[in-house]
Amino acid sequence: MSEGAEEIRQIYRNYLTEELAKPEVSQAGKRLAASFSVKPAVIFEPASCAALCLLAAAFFFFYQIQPRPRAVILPDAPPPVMVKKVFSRTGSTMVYQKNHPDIPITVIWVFPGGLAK
Amino acid sequence: MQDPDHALVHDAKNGNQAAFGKLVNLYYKMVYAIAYGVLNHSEAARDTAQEVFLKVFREIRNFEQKSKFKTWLYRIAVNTAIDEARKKRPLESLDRRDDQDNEKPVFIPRDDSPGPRDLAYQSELREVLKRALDELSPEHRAVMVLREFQDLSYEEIAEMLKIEIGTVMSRLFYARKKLAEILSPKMGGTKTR
Repeated sequence: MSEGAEEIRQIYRNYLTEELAKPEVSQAGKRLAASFSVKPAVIFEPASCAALCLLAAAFFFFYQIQPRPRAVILPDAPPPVMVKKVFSRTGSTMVYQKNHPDIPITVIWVFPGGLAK
Repeated sequence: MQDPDHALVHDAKNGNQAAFGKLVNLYYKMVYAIAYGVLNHSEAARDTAQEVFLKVFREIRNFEQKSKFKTWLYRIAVNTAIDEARKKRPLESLDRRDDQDNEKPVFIPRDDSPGPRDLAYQSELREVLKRALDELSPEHRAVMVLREFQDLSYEEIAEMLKIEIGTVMSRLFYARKKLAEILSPKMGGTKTR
């Protein structure tokens, strides 16, 4: 190789060596290596996932078998109530609720033929 | 000759991520050097180096260890970098200055005395070299970095890039000639005392 070509080769090698010597290059390499070495959190391991799934299934099962509120049919008309909420002002269905001290009341009116105009 | 990384690669193939992390530590700078040599841009080289190791991570199970790991890694690195450079090719170099086309060659007088002036000279030379490398194609820069920095043989480079040995030599000749044309006037000049 000629002297000039050798000089250019050396300049080129110095150029790349200086680039590799930059701290951000080493830092990037270490970060990348560390990203492959980090173990996933214990919670994502199969045994932990299986335990969590069992717990969720048990919770859902016991929630499902809890007694639900029953409908109460009053023999007499309920006491006068003040309407607290009206879900539908128009249309064939009206729903309103009143949390009576003894019996919470939900009244649903259904007008099969719709409201008279 | 057995691959010096055989044990680590074997563990990595079997899913040992810590072993793969060690391979990254061993070879990151080599991969970065190839990426930077081809792309001539720091950020792009960092992104490409990361992509190379992600590819290797995905494919290592299929690596049959018939060749050395390093050789396989070289091939992935240089081809990924060239592919990346081709994607960016229609765009200007990210480091290119707007006034580059109008720039006249700068005569930098040579000064052998040590100290700040020498550092300034080296810094200018680096900038000139960087711009000179931008004028080469990624394929020419690939041959340059593999031969002039990684010291690979013509045969190794030809096999890696899937080209003829003659093509390797002609690309290298062209790249050296181009750099000499741009750099030589800037390296000359009178010595100052």
